[in-house]
Amino acid sequence: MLRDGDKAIQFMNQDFILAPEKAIYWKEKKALLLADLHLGKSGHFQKAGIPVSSEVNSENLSRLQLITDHFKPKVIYYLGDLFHSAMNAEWREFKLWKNKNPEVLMKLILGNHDFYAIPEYENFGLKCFHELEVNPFILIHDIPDKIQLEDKVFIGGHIHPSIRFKGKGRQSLRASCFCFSENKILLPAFGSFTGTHNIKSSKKDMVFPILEGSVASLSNLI
Amino acid sequence: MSKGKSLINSWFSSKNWKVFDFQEEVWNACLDGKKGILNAPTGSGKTLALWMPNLIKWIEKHPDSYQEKTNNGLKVLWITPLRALAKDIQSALQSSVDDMSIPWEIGRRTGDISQSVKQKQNRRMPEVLITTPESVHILLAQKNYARHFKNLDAVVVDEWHELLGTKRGIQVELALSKLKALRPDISIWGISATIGNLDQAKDVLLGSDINKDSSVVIKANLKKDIYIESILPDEIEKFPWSGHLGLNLLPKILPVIDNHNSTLIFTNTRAQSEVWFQKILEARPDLAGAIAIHHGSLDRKVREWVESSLHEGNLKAVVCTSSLDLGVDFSPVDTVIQIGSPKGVARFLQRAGRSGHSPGAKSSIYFVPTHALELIEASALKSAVNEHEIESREPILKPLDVLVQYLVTLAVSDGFMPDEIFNQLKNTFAYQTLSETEWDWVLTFITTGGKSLSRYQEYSKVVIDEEGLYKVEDRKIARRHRMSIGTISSDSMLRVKYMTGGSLGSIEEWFISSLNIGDKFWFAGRNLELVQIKEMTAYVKRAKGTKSKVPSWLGGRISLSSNMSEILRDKIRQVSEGKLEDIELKTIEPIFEIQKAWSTLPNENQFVIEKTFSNEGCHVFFYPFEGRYVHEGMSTLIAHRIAKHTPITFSIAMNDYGFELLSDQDIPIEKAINDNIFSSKNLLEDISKSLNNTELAKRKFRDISKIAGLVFQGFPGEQRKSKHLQMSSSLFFDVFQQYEPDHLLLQQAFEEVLFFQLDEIRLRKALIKIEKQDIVLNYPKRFTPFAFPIMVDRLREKMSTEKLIDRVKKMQLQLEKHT
Repeated sequence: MLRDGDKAIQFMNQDFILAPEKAIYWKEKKALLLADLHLGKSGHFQKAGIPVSSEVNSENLSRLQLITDHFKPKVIYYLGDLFHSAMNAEWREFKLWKNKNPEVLMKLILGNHDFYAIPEYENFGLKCFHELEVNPFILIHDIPDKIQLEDKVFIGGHIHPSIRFKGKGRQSLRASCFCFSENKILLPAFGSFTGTHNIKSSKKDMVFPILEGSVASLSNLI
Repeated sequence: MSKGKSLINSWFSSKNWKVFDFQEEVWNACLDGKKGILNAPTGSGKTLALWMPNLIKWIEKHPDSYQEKTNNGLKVLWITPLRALAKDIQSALQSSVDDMSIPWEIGRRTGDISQSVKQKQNRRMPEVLITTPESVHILLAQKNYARHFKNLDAVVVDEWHELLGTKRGIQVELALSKLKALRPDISIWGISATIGNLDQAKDVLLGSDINKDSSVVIKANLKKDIYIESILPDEIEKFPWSGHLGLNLLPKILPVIDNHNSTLIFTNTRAQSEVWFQKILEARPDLAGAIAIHHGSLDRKVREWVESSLHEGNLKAVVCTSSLDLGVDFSPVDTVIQIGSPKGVARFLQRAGRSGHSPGAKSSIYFVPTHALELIEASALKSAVNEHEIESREPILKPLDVLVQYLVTLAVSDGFMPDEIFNQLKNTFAYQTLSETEWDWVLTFITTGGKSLSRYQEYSKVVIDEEGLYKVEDRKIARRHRMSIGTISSDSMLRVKYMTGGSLGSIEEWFISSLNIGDKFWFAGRNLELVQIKEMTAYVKRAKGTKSKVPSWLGGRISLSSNMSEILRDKIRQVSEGKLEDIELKTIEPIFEIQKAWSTLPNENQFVIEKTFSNEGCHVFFYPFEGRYVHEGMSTLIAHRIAKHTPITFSIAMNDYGFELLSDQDIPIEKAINDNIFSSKNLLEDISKSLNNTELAKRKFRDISKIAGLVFQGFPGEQRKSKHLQMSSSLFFDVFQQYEPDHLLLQQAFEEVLFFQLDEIRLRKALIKIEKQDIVLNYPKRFTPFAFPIMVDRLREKMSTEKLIDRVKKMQLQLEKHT
């Protein structure tokens, strides 16, 4: 199951595989976790007279197909911002894709971008949640800053995390990453061309940057 | 003498003015139906030179009724680069027609004119409209725009030298091509300060269909005496080797302010002006109220107050940026102080000319170096002014982004027929070489988004109707386009307002976002505390204390002109031959001695390279003295040629004197010299390859994508809604590179880098020169006076041929302070 470039880790006694396609496979639940796909972005821009190639959208879907074929999950949890904005032709592409994979159950945790589309999602049979408890975690789009429930651990996206490295000779670079900390797991944005945001992390955190198609572990690097 | 002329002459006499020879010359040329350029400085009577022919013609045409006829439609379009100038021109022209009882209305139409005035103009145009290039294009975006121009006789383009060589200049060319098509006999004149290529400036303005026999360049030839003095440090040994603020010499400029009526202090950046303003006040609290600050980010009202106070002679000094390069006549100003290098002779003269405006008065300018080596520039500037060597303004050719914008503008208003527009474009200077293929691409781009339809299924911007007319039907797209016409691109800005009301100006969003509530910063010469951010406005209150930040604005760094760098090299040569005649060169002699002792002071036949190790890694410095732009190209080229054979990562810095390659590992420069890295062979190929590894083209693409309408800034007050349509230009760049690498806008970015930023011709010349020189490679133990100012520069270009993972292995995780 583990390919070159994948990274297996254990967290809260659960087994995860971090895929460089920017997704997490959760073995115990046979679940695939993805955040911030921002599908339909290109169509949304095109409608407004701004030419963003539709290949941006199809690339997202073919990457999704690739990991679905590989991990064969029973369920996919979309952790919010599945769609970039109002429905458009690229929605059809997504429906086609979903119909091609009938054996996979799909659930959506609503993100800030998704509110445009709740009726369409529901008509289509994509179950929507504001947050969802999947033991021992809580799946949510935007993990609140001050976490009240000390005993719960959140899995979320929203901020499109990346980290920055600095080196001798005034070098620096940044990479999208997964971040595991005491009470949360952050996923990088799955959608291509979505931008990233540098995160704060402490020494206790485990950060896994994606470098040239493989998930690296910081402890091996530094 | 004709009636018109004699009336004008008597108006001049009634004012106790004499008609200058050049004014008469311009009148005659205009009346003969000639077009052209008037070369005259500000305050010389240039406005009247080009204004009077219109009145003369009017009187000649209606000798009996010229004082009665009203509602004559738009006769004269007066285009100025700066809306601040519009008001002054308006009142000058209005008072002349009022004096002669000619019932003409002189109107203004710029970004700051209220909607109701604009609507009134739409119903009935004034006889004269003073406007900016952008506003002309907004007019062209109106339905049935041709009605405004059906009586148009003349177009005057003021300060054409400021527009030439910029994309706003292209907008002028495009607007003129349209107006010429509507009114073939239209008179076109430009007013320009002295530049090296006045004849070409004329050709660009008049277009490729110019009739050389009926076009002229008329020179006012008003000799102006200029007094130039450099402010010299007392002890050069204690004067810094690097830096750009120049505050060390502040005590020495205070007497200059005291000894003059009114002084303009020019700084090169807005941040610098804020710091200087604050420091002058600290040194001389008694000047509070008598000095002011002026820069482009300040609120219009604040700027207007400063300008009128200057005009009335109420201010002892104003700290400013290029925002006061142009503009109204400040006759009370009798001296100018330039802090730091002005980078070019033309700009230096322009600024000097802001003082001593009254006829016969001398202009005077003081040059304040901000670091030791800038004294060489001071001496170079003096020589250049004496020899009268002034730069050319190179015109831009074929920018497709501006063309895309223009075509959508036409499609938004009345639609256009491609063949007709193509012919009009071929008559402009900028697009005379536009090929059929390029034209087809542009048409495809605005109609289907790109060459492969399937990639842009939902795209619709411009549609083609049954008659073949290209037009925009979607009203939202039309509205958005009208909002974003303009080629001056700026970052997203936040307004700065007091809690109690009262606007101070605007600051780039990224600066404000680096502050926390309660943080203090300097802006508009005031110490402020950030209270809250709401709806694109930063609310502030007055603050006390000294630990305030100064916003640093990301301005493009200007390069030394090729003209200046040539004189600069000449100065270095003089020094190496021991000729220290200029006081500035004499003053920095001790620094030259250190350079000589630690490394080499190059003579004409030497090219110096220095290799120094520090705990940052290995530094290699090169000194071609060719100006920043050439160094930008040369450094990426050299870095690319070294990195081709060895996996290595460079951080590259440069200034106008030289450049530095820095790496964490040893840079094999010895081998590289043997391999002839300075060869001018395969230059274009190597440069193109090296560009792919750097951010240069990506940065250029920022402006291109805004102009071509890819990046949308949002409607005022509607930020939230349009967020979904915002994608950074760098993401666009990546999308295009991945899916459509032959995208012409992408190629334009590369070409702009090659031909404007890197200036391939200058680069090639510089390389050929180095090939003939002896390379001197030194290993100084410390950073030399030449190296130091480059080494401390934080703004760096990167290039790498190493694997990402290998690089990260050598690095440390940088933990960001805030999320």
